[in-house]
Amino acid sequence: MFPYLRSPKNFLLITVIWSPVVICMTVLVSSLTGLSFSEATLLAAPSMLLELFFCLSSWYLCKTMLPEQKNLVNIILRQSIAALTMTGVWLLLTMAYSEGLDFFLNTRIWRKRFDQVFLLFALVGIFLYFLAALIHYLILSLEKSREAEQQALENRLLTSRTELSSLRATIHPHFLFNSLTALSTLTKTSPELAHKVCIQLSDFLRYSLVYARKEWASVKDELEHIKSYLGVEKIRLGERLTLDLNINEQAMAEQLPPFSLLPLVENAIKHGFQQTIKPGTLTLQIEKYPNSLQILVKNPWDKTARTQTSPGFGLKALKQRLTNAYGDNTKLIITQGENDFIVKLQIPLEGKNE
Amino acid sequence: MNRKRAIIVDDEHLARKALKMILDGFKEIEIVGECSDGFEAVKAVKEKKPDLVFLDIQMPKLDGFDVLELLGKDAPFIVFVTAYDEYALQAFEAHALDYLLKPVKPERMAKTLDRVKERFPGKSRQPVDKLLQQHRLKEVPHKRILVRDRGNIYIIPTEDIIYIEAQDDYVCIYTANKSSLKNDTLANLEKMLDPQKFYRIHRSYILNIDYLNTIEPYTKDSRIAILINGKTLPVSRSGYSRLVKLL
Repeated sequence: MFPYLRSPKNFLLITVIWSPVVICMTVLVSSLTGLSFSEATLLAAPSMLLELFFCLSSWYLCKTMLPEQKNLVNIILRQSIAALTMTGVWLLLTMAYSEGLDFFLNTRIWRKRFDQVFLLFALVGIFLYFLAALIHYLILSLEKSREAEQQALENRLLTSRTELSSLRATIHPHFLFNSLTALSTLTKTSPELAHKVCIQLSDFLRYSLVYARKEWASVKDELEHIKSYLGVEKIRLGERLTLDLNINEQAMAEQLPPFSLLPLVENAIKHGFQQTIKPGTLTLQIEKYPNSLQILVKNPWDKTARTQTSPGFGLKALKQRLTNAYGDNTKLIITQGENDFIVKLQIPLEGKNE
Repeated sequence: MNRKRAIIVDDEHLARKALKMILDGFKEIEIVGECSDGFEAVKAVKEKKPDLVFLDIQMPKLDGFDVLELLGKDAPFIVFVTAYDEYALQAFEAHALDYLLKPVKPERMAKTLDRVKERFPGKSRQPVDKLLQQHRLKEVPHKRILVRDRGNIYIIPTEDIIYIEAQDDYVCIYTANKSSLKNDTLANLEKMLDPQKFYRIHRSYILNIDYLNTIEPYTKDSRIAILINGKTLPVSRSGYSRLVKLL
């Protein structure tokens, strides 16, 4: 939006600034031509009003030629052409105005007086144009820095919001409050174990926070993350949960989108172990092949268990995230057996979507 | 002092212990049992007849609501315990039922036990029936039906149900190898089941059409349904028109 007329205050400011300019010009015209002050006003004031219009409208030109977009020589060249053109048009219009005065007042002096001050007008016109352009640039850069500040603020807000939502997505309130309940007991019955759980919980939460901002994580880091998660679950579930982790050493250095493993084991805990009364084993296998990484999670499953409101929602979201990262080269296969539930995930090692 | 006898039900041993440690501070409570799942809970309530049950909502296979349903009229005073379940909390608030949030605060426990004491002399029943009714409608159509029959609890997947027959205050649920009595009404079950599969073919019968073979005329006004297993069921006139409309 045109900034100068945004509020009546700005309008007033322009009037205050421009009036002395008009008065100076009138005095100059009067002394150069011998016209009386009021006569000089008749010639200069309307002309200067027109000049104000030209000066203000150069705002748009300045906006299209910002120093950070074009080089300075280019801008000076273009602005000079604009200054000459605009001043030329202004002079022509002022000349036409003086002719008009002669015509309507039936005199022959105005055009001649104008010719006397033509050079003054030309110089003043060019000078005022550049001055206005300079002021425009100043205001533009001020606005820009304010915008940048606001943008930075918004970005910061967005980042923290993303962190928060990823925290919320990775840490289910059930997990948190049940873990804290278990912890509250352990602090009294076995402080050593409570200490261990505290550390596992902090490791888990820290990873969720730190990796919310990252695009890739190594298998090793991801493994640490789910180990701290499973450590806490193991304390809660006791002998109901046995872990069988089988990870190929060569896979450790491979990269994955963060939080690729957590939904797999979380699903196993939530829909497997928390829905079965009998003890069982959670199997996690990670195997490296020449072109792909294969992850398998197996957990016991009870057909007659109460079906959760959104079975496999976490898995669906994981599939979506992996598709975003790799395109269609990733496979997620779910096999529901009579008594167990197997999720196989295949991730390509090359051809990440950049 | 007249101590109240309580049972703690939670599938996590540390959560049970947490409650136990808090209750140790309240001399008016005597813990007479601990259960790690819903099956044990139903059995323990029947055997020990406690005054009070601390019932965890989220448990494997049978959750707190299921236990409540299975206990039916035998249910003692229930204090629900949950870590985080917005739906359940809303329901408890709506029906003015007592609940505790995990980890449980001793002050909150004191308040709850005060309320229990207030309630006891008259032994007015908690308004759990409305809670259950609301809860039942939330899960429609149900994938399983719970039955407590002579001390045993059965979970019947609805796809195994062939038909259901009304018998006085009970309904009898027939599957391929068993029939079980449930203290409920046909109208209630009709609301819980998938209306695309289960039809009220008669005042006294609900049929799973997956098990229907043919329908034949019987008398001038009525027909009979012949099931895949050879069994025949009466079909009333309105039941028949319902079937025709929907098939």
